[in-house]
Amino acid sequence: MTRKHHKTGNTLVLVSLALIAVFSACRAGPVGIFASIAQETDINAGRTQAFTDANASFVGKLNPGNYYAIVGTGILYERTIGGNWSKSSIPSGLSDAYALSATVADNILFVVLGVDAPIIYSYDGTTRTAISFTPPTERIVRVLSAGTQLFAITERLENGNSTGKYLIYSYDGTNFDPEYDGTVEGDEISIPNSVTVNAGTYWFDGGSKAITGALGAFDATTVSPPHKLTGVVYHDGVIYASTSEGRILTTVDGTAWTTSSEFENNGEPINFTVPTIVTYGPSTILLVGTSSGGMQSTGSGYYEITLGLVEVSPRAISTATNFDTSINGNSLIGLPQFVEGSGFRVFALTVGNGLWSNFYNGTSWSGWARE
Amino acid sequence: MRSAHIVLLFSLAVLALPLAAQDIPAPLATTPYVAFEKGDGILSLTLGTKLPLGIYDPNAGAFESSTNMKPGFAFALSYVHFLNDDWAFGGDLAGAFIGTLAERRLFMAPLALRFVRAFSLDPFIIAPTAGLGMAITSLGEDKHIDMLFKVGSSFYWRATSDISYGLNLLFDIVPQLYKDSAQNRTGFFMDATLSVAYHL
Repeated sequence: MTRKHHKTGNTLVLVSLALIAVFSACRAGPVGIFASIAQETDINAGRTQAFTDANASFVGKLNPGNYYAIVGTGILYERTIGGNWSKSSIPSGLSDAYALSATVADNILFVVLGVDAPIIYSYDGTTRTAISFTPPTERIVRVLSAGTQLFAITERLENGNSTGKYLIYSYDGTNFDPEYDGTVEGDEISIPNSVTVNAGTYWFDGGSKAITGALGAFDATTVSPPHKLTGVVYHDGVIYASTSEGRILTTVDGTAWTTSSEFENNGEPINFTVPTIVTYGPSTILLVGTSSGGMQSTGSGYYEITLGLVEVSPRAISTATNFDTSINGNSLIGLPQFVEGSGFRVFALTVGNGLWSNFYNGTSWSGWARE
Repeated sequence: MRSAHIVLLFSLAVLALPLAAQDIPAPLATTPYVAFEKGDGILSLTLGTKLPLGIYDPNAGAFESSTNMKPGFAFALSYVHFLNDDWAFGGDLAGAFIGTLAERRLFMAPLALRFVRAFSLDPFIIAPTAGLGMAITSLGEDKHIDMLFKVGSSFYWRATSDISYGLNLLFDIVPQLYKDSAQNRTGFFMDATLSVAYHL
């Protein structure tokens, strides 16, 4: 062997040893790599090309079977059960067709259209009707619903500019009635992301306050100890509230709050978004989306939490492989669910990764797949 | 008299034969042609595709219904050193990127030490090979190092005394073993690659 040959061989051996040293420091996951790949499902079988890399901000359903979604740049889509998504019609003659927000209340779709001067229109599956609601010095920014009740959230304007102060109105079928005025000093709230109802008492997340009460008697409740609420959901006599500090709070009537231990990712508290209660078979769990913000640079999909506020392990509604290959690492705005045939479908509204869903057929979950 | 002339000419011819034989060069000692000899080396750069053939589940005693992997991109830098005219020993620094059904990317670095038997069919060389090594695999945040068995053959065309071009068909067998034996699987792959080889 010549000296040159020795040198070539030695170089290869040294590079090999360096590679081995680097990879030896990496962790072996709990799931086998080949085993994990073999368990993959086709997450793109029903993919809608227009949803690629888009934000999804809303999904609602008009019974018996039409879904509506806002995806991308304020575009309203619709599909039947088992059908494909297509752009939905909007009332003619509108100069700004940007769908800012939407909700379904009492089987009627309500959509906020426009950015600078938004209007609300309703759609019952047959007729689209503009609703007259133009509060002075305010701009409609969101519609929310709980049960059959519709609410509109507006923002106070000064000289046409945002103030970051929000008001809540309820809809009585004809008019929007003022319920809460967050423009009053000391009553300010963050823009509510969700509303839930228990026996006629409504609950909104409002940042450092929860807004609660029967129609006509809303009031703000300060959470103690202080937390920033980001979403609320009711289940079996208990209000579950997510926070931006990695905790889930519960209360029965707002006078006392219990707090979960802190949920963390990479040692930092999770920024939770709107929670959903999912009941399937004998199990009931809290699904809570996550988002970037706070100490989190990215979202981490969703957490599955028992009603005892303990993280579910192993994963319940998807396998570890399916979760890793779908919405893990994504920021989620919410996880709305809808009855579909003998089962139900949970949607994941992602920031920048389109719309996903996971169908429970009464026996098993399909796994997350792109819409 | 005529007979005497014939006898004279024949005698001269016979006498002249040894002289004529002295003008023909003596034959050289024959040496068989060898493509390689001890101390030779081949350094080759390889590019091509890595084809997932199957994933075997030892718990089920059967292959998975699908590999869920697409044909990937494979590359390698190899060196083999001839121990004698026929046999060589060497190794590979190799890697491959393989896309999966769910849009993940498997990185695999099969590092092997292997023996090569070279059959010369000038200007072609057939070089079957077999070896052992390790396969470093990486999928997302998960990494693993496993045993590697490599077998196959290279087919070279020696374009010049220094350069050959080759087609390689090599098979990787990678048994992945975990503490949780339910996760154990064995991966089967085939590399179909082209090489340019420099003869050292």
